[in-house]
Amino acid sequence: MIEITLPRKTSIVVETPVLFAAGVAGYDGSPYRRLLSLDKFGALVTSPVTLKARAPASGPRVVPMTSGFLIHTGLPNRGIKRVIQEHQGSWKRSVLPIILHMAASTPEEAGSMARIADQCPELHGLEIGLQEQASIREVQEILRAIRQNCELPILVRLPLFDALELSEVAQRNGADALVVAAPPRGTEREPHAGRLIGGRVYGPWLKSLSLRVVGRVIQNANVPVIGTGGIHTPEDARDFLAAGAVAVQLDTIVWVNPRMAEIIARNLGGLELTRTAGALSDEWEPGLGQTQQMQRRGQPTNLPEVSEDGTQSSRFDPIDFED
Amino acid sequence: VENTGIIERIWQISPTLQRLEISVEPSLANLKAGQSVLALIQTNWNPYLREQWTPIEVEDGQLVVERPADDQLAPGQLVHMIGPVGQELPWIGGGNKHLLLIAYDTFPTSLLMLAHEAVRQTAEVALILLGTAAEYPFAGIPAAVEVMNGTEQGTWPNEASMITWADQIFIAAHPVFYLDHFTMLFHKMKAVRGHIPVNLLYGLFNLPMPCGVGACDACMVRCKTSDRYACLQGPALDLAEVQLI
Repeated sequence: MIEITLPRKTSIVVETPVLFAAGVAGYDGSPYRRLLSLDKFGALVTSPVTLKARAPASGPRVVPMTSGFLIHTGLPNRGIKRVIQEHQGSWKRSVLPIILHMAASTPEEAGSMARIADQCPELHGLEIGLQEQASIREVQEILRAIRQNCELPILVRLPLFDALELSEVAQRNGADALVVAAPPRGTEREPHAGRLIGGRVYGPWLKSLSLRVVGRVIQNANVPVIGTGGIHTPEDARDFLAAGAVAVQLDTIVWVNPRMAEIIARNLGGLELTRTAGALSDEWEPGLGQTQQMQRRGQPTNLPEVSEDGTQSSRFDPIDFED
Repeated sequence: VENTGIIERIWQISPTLQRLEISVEPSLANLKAGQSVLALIQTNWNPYLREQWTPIEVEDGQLVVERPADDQLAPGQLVHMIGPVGQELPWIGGGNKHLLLIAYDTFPTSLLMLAHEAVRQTAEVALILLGTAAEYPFAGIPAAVEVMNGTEQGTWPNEASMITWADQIFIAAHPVFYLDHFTMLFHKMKAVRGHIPVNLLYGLFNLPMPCGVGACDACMVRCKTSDRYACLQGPALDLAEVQLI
């Protein structure tokens, strides 16, 4: 069991250090119920929710790029009250802890949403996505507003390029965990319309950028850090754990290759059934996961080590993340 | 569900188009008109997103799919597919019915399976090709379908009589300009018929779909009552319900 937020009365504990990132599996994972074994994952961060309902963006919303794509959805949702009403039942039945992702741009909005979310016993935590242009003062006020209105654990998802600066502010103002980092925003020309479209950009290339920032943030972090961004293989995910992250969030790999997403979850959860090519039958046993195999061979698994007093340690080398 | 198909046969129907026959597992062997799969051939992330393939025919556990001729494909190649995506087109069916199909600035590929089905049911089918759709090779269209070319502006001969003749109308449009085209054609048809009742005029929302299962919100369509996912409730949405421009 892995505690992914600060130990408090209501911390979040997961069985597998692989979570669904905000927006990739809907509000309750139901879009992937027939494609994935949801119980092999650690927790689910919902699609972004705002205080009031928002309509989908109009015009082109997806621009393919080399090894990735840009997406702009407009964060369509029915507003926090309706979302909770409509999904409370499925959250109650969910095999995964549910973390509500809030998109709020003012302290007032954030406070109101936190107050509403706090009354929903099916939620295990809140993740607040900080905007790229957010100032230190805005972040302070937003986090204070949430903390004052809510006892749920707060995960703060930091923008990639300001993560280092904002991580300190977030920790000082009540963050129970940091999520590093939100996919960056980009602008790309939609080839048919000829228009420039702004949105979040995704792809495997994001991993190296995000991993570096995770390594830097962890050097000064006093709260658990969850790594995310461009993870497409079990090795990618283990790199984040090696950098000291307690868990990872998977983003677009879930969309483009759900089977690989489950392999990553099973792999890091010690649940992947593997058999070396050419192995004799007595060298393999059903139920033996790759993590266990690596442990038996004395290889580093990169999973967080838990000491007898319950604290976790990481095995990253700070030099890898220096400029 | 996610499964793997094998390209069995490839043949070219025009200098720009080829057709593939793909053997698939039973879960995809019963695709209905309008339903599609999200296909992935390369695993080198280029292209990164799966491509939406709408079969033009399904026969004996095989999908017939149309692709650009310059796609580097070969028999024996594996195709990783998620599907079925979307619902069957809500064609009322039956002989003696009049079905009007319109493709505007997009090839009529997503309408062809419905055309085949309607012809089999002895319905009368007309296909109007507007804008760049007129470049589509006639060889790809069932012989019993009456085909007419229109203009880039979205006009065609005998418009009014064709619009009143139709019992149902399905429009496929370019995935970027779809809302403009749907809006223009909706108003044109409303002017002719006076009123557009539900279940008469459908637009096919074949929009880019990163996930195809209703998770990514990229294909959500704004409607008058509640917004709909093209990948779940589409691709055909009743234009009387859609929030047009």
